[in-house]
Amino acid sequence: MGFSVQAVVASIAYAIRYLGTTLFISVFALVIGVIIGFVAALARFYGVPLLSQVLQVLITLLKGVPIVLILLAMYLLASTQFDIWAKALHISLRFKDFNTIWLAVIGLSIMAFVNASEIFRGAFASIGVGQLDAAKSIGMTNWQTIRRVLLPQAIPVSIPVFGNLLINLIKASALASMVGVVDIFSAATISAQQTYTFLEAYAGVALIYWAVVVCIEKGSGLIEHRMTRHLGRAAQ
Amino acid sequence: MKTHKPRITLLALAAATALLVAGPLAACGSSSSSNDDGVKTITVATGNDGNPFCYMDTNGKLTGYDVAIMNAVGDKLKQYYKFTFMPSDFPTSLTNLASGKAQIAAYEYEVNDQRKAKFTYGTVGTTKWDTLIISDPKNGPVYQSFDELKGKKVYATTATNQAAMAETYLKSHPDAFKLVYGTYTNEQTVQAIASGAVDATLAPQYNLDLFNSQLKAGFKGSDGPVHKSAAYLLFQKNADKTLMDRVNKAMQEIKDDGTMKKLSVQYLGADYVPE
Repeated sequence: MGFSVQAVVASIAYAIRYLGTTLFISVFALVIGVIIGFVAALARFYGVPLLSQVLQVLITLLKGVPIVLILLAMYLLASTQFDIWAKALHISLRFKDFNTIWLAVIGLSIMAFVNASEIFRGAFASIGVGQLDAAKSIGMTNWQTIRRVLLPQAIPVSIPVFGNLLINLIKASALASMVGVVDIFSAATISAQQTYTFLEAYAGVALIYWAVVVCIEKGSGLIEHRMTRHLGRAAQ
Repeated sequence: MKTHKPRITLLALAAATALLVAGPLAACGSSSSSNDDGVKTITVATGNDGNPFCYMDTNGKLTGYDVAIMNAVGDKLKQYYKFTFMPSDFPTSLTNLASGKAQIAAYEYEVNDQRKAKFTYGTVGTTKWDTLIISDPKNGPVYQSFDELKGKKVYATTATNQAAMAETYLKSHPDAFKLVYGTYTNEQTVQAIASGAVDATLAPQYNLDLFNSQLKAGFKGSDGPVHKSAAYLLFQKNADKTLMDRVNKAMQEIKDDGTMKKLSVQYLGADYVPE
């Protein structure tokens, strides 16, 4: 048996057309996750009654559920419940016309939200209580404190962790085929199914993943460097 | 300090690629060994998640129809060979055979040209895999041919023979139907058809029976198959001829004496042995 480099190239050429799908799912999920995660982390940081307890339970629960299970449950729920809810809410969209890529986006957003809220919580916790007291003493409102004290310190330290989160999301997006979405991983498998060159397809898609991950690492390093330059503690 | 970083990244990439490519190849032909008493150990690649064909039961023991057939064949050939199993997922079972980690593969392989070019098929079929068009009569007509599926959405699982067959058909009929790819579980497939997310799927009678008996789907299949097929064992392309002859003969024997039919009823619930 030979290892066909030609088949690797062919699978890369075929799979790369779906890179947009993979990136769309992962980046969209990251954005949603960061927004909701930020709000959740703030609520927990300031100890908003009830909401912070509910969030704590929710995050602990979701942390313990594999993404595979979330995707599977969402598909089965959506396929049985979507039309009922759509009718009740007078939306004309039906499940048969619904693009299941959104199920993948929601599934990965849940993963991103849980991680992002913990990342922000850690970053907020690294800021001394003294600074908050100082902000209060000069008459800053909560919102001003968040904007001028918390965020400028929390964001730079969490950039590399968010880079990692994006990488994890990109890898997790390979599970999107479970809800019927063709991403680069399943595209590579499809390119191999006619010729049974699966090993070559996996090697090809690994190269794509590596290239993307290296770009994200470099990109997040650059952003971190720029953001921390003025703080006098720039990354090496 | 920063300058050495890209080189390390490149090195790591190169090393990992080399490992990935060379790892399985290095094992070529190394796994069939001979004991003192002349009994050769033969590794059989099979599945670990292919219930009821080859899967791990609740005790972690490999079982299923394909495993039982190989055990029956092994019994017939015990003076020559001892079969050991190498379970994996479906695509990996093929790479295990191709790379020489295994000498035989038993995981419901249907015939197609690409596999024919790469492997040698066994001569005795184990399971009937005639492909039917499966649809839900509640959502529309029972589709009988690809022509009737024009403009419809048809689900196929990535990397299956049904997907490859549908792709081949679409190459000559570009706007016949829309192929929806995924790696759905049986339950998801049933939900997808029942909810109208897809109009039909391509699957054999065995799957249709499973959908209807286990998942109460109420689906119907096309009266005739859109594709005739059966599953066979696979050998390496340049496999030991004596091994192939003995295994093929033993397979014919267990088919003729009704063992295969008995195993089909036991594991699959009905007789799916091809004529």
